[in-house]
Amino acid sequence: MNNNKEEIVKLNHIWAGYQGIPALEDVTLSIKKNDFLGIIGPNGGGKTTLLKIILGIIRPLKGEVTIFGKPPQKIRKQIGYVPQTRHFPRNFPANVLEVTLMGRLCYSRLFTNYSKTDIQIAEEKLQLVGLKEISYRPIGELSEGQKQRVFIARALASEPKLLLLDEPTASLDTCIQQDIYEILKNLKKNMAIVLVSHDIGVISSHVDKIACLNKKLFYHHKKEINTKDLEAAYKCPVDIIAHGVPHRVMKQH
Amino acid sequence: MIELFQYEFMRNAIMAALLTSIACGIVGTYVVVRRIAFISGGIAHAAFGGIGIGYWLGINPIITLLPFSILSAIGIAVINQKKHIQEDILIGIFWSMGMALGIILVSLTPGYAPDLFSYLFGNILTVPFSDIILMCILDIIIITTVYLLYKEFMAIAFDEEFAEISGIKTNILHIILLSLIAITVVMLVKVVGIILVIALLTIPPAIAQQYTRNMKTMMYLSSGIGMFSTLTGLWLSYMFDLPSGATIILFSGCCFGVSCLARKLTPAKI
Repeated sequence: MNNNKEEIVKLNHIWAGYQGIPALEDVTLSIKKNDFLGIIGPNGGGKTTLLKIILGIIRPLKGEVTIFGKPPQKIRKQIGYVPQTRHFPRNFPANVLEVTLMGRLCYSRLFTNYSKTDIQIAEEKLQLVGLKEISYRPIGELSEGQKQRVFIARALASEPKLLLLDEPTASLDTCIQQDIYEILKNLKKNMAIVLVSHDIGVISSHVDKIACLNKKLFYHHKKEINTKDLEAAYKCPVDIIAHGVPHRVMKQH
Repeated sequence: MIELFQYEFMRNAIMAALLTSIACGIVGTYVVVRRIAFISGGIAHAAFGGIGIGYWLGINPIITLLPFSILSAIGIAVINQKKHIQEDILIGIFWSMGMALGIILVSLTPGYAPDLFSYLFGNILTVPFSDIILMCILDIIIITTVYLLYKEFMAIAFDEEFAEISGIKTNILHIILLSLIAITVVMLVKVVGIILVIALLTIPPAIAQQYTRNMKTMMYLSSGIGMFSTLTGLWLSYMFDLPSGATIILFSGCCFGVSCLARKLTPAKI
């Protein structure tokens, strides 16, 4: 099932780390078109590192990463990246449209303004995330949920085939989280989505496939994780009956 | 007071005030938004080494100031990029070593150093017309660079990592931005002196930031506020016979204080 879909991302025995401390150990992962993959795991387990390897910002110590068969640096236009919203300068003098337009930088040339097409596409993506009406509002005046949606629009502006999200719902209320997941569900038809989070409950009810990452990857190409995997990833007994973890995610045992 | 305008030194001082305010408004906006006031201070003080070199070689110090300033800026930019080094300590070292170099070279130069005080603290009333021409050229360089690279500078100011991913050469742009700061420092040396350069790079944009959330507007507003405070400071220093550079800075600081107070006292918008 789904085994003959086009492969978009291939990570082959990736080892990565900083100054001798391993962040990823022997990670092999294949992401196919229309996958909606959620990667969960404890903080410090390498989730952000994995995203950065896929983006090509970090080079692996060992192993190979390819996107559509090419190294990530050559194919960045096809990748949309939604970073965590926490660290952005408040009161930055730019409006929602100007921030979204930054997603078109990979297509624009030096010494020129954004083109009419760039602006059109940016507005389209803002429409998609439901923020077209506040295109001219300063980014500093937005709520966390609105900011997150702008960053999604910005990532979508390059019309990528692969969307990477780093903790997109970390500081959001549950009902706002729903809005974000609704948007992502609709995008799934056109691209592969990889979402990284430490929140097991919410992620498992929305994504199609789940993997656990704690330096090593536990992935069965299914939307099932058994408790052994979870405990190996989190290195402590995980309370399966915790709130928000639907039992259909767990293997029958 | 109109009789003042018949004096060339006064006309030059006014031109200098206006031209430097344009540079400060534009470059200062980036300094405030990117929070690189400390780095800018480092470039300004390190540049004193360039003045020392000029003295020592017996030529107009401004000639050696410009390349030395830009080199300090590039040096600091390169340090900035090595993420495992503690940045503020290294900038502090650059800052003080540049000044120390300048002091040593000036002391090694035989004879009396006539303008030393004016390079440290400014003396807008002794700006020659040749400096005005230089300021015009530097303004044109700054305006052209910012115009051509506007969207790239905005991208790296807002989210450097995303800009890098999008294919922007953030390292080179960072160096260009710091070089623009170095150029502005050179322009400001005669107006307020090296010690107080940082004030004109930060106070007008800090005031402007309270009134706008649009980068272009912030640049225009900062330039305007800069012009207002330098001209008023100049006038006050004339009226009360005070050092011009320091009066300008003190007046600017008071403007900032008044602006903050005004905002606190006006009822908040709902």
